[in-house]
Amino acid sequence: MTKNLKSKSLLVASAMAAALTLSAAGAAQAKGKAEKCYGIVKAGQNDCATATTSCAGTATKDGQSDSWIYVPKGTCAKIIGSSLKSGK
Amino acid sequence: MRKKVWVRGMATLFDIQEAFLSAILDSQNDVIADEILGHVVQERLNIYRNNTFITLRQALSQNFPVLCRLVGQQFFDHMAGEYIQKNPPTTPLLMTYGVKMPEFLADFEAVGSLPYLADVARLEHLWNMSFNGSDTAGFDLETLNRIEPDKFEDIIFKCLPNMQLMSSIYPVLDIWLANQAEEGASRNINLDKGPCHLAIFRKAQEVEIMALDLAGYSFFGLLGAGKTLGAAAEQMAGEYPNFNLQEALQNILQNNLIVDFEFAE
Amino acid sequence: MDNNHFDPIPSNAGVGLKPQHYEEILSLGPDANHQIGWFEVHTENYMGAGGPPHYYLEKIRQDYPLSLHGVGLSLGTAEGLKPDHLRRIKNVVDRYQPALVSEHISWSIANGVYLNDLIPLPYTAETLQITCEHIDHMQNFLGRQILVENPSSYLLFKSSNMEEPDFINEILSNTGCGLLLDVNNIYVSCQNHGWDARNYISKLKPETVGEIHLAGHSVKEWRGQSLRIDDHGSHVCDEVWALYEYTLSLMGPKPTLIEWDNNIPALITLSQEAERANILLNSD
Repeated sequence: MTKNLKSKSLLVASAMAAALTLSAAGAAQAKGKAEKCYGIVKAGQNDCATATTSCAGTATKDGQSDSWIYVPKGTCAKIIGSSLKSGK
Repeated sequence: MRKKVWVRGMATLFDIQEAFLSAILDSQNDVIADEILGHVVQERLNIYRNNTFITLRQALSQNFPVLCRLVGQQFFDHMAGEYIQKNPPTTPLLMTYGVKMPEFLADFEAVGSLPYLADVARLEHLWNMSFNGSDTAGFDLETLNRIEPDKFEDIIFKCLPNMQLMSSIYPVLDIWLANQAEEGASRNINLDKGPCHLAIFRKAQEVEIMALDLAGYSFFGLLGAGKTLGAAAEQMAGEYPNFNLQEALQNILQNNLIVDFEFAE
Repeated sequence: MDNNHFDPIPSNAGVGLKPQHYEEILSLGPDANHQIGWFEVHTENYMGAGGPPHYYLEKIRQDYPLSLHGVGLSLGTAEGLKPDHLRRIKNVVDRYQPALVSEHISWSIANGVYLNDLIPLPYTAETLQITCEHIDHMQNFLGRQILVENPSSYLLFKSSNMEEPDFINEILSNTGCGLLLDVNNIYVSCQNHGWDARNYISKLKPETVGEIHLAGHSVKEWRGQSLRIDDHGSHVCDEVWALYEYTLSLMGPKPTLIEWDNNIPALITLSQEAERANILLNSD
């Protein structure tokens, strides 16, 4: 048991020491590569104006759910695979 | 929503606001219409209903741009309308409105044929949480160099406070990447590519998404849960024999994913 | 209460700050951007813990006075102010030390649901009491005076037994808060309800006015009626500029904000609107 603990301690110590040395040297680039996407206006904004189109003056009412005559018509068409179920 | 009737002139402000709410969310105009002056009352009420739905829909499409591209604007608008009715905002903060979108999509029959959408929505919400999450001051690796090596196993790392972790059985990062441009995806994606494990975080102003393997993802999870380095290493060695501790640590240190550390008692 | 220790806003023109313009504002610097004397933001958009919104606002705040304009507290709600939201507002106020803090005379929250709209109130003694209590609460919580904005509206309640400007004057005298006089809102509401805009403005007291708002609106025709929609999506119209001149003739120069929230134009367009306001502000 003591021996196991000792070897775990050594393992962590040597891994950390090596990782620190390599990181400081900036030598070998780490395996993990992050995807960046910059977007200032990405998050939803609060506002105090009335939407221009809110005065439809027609029978159209937003928020009334019509029967689901709509089907997705976007880039989902480019996604394929056996886990897709057939549309209902 | 229960319907209320009151004697004219006896309605309290609370009654009026409750009835107005039913008019907006459930198109129940009758009760409040009685309280409104003049003609064309229905149309005037509709302006408020329309404005609420239009602006909340705009907030949802800003918070879920990839979802919007995947299903197309028209479908998204109708789907968002249903979402708003079922999950109207309970705080005035629109920057993170839509927290229940993954669950909503998972139960939403009209997208039953697109099972990956819920996870795409989850990724977009986590992206937003990271975007708006706490900032960090940065961390000097030198402080770790001053530690006695035999103390490393007792270290508890504090990861970036805005870091989020998620995994999916679908390649949602590929889907997300292919839908960053306004013009829509230019390449096909095969869902059979399999699962992905992601860390989403922000160091300065840019949100980053890092793909990890299952072992790396589990290691992040253990550190995030406050395990000591020693305990995390031990658990990883038991569960993932091929796990390379040094590489995983190098990844964390080199990418500046920790902001602080402490020692276990 | 006074807010003299908060770097006051000068009686010149400011504009609503939009993320689209962050970079340009910083690269121009205040000297090249001299028509814009200050910025106003919607408080709710800076309630996240961190991230780019704060990064930019902190930089811009170093060069310009700031006004925080809240859209989410719902001062006229019958179910009480949300303490969480008041706390969030205070956090933003503490962080940015704005010259002005404002909210609206309207409501947005019922049954715990936030409707993201500024809905009009019935002008009654009950509403007056509730609204004044909430304003007192907010001013005490923040430890400073706030301004409240007159609403634009598309409908009126039968139960109202006070005229809007009288209701507003009661609020101001009961709570000691100031008025954010939105000239476009007065024009829009007066057109929609058949009121006299100059009469409305002449009832307001110059010493209570801490800020003026100007914005564009649109006109919709239906059923042989025209309705003004307060969409902040275009230039301030000539009628509103004329009403603004009339307001200045009664009130004297006041900090004046150009609001433009839909179809957001280039910064130069906002700067030109600000210049037009500055010319009128300096013409006395």
